[in-house]
Amino acid sequence: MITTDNNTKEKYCLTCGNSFSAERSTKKYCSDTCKQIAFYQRNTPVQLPLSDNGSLPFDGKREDQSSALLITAAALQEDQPVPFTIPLTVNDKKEPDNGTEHKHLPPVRDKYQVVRSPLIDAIAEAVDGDTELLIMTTNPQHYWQGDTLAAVTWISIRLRCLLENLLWLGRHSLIERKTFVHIRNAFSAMLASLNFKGLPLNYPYTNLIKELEQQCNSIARQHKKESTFRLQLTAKRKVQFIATRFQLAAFVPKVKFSDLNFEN
Amino acid sequence: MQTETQKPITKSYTVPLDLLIDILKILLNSTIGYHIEAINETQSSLLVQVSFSPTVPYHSRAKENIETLLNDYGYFLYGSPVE
Repeated sequence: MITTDNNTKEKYCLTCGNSFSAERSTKKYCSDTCKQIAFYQRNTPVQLPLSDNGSLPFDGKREDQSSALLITAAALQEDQPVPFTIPLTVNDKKEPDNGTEHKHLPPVRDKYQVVRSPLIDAIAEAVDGDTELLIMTTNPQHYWQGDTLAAVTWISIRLRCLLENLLWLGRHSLIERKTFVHIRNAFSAMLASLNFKGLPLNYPYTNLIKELEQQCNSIARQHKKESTFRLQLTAKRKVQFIATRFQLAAFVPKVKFSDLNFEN
Repeated sequence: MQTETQKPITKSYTVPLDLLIDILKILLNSTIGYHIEAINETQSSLLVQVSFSPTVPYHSRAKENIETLLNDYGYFLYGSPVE
């Protein structure tokens, strides 16, 4: 990774090997196309058509980049490393050298040991790991239309707001029980709403909402005799909340809790 | 006497508790001077002043490492994939 300015870094795409500017250090692919190719590679490792020399023909939509996208047949086998190296930090695991010629070799850096954050890595994995979900939240109109899209948007705005509030409460050493009860009531109202009943089967957060409503109920009951308590989020929950909020932010705006009605 | 270029560069960072261990690891591994200026209990964060020496090459890497972690954290917590 090469820093280009305060916010963007030059990185190497895991699919095509080209360098690109990334807003975050954990970004792996230069474009949605490369991300989708990686997704299909993971799910259908030997289904992609190959030309005689083992390279992957480009889809034709972006002919200008076709020369950049050379993936050998070996790389399409499951769990095989793509035959070019990406910048490795000392903490990164190195793939065993299989004698493959390395292409697109980035400049070698000195031996500073880069410290990674397990939390950020887990969030990046949760966000990038489910490419279909990311595509769904960035292009909701391709999946849902009309009243269904309206219900999805209505619920998603509220879910984003509640997740942001739970993350905010989780950062406090003590929270008031009555504040938490507002959140719990909002989840219950949302679950009972007509829009929740109108959600399509492929809406990805239905189970999360049900699960959180139950959990908020149980926490409120657990602390019913206290006026304040600490809301401690597990690392797994924190990763899930941050990743889900991030995905929702792709298609719904941030709205204050006090400006939202959770019943309809 | 220290010349202008040898003066340490001091920067203050708001470090969320979620990244505290990682940032301290960077500071200790690279023996970088720091002190805690303030604690924001409601936001679970610390204001940490860090002194980087321009004559030590890996200090600039450590600075880059700290800023990358803080940027990435902010990106996921407050950003969006379409920005």
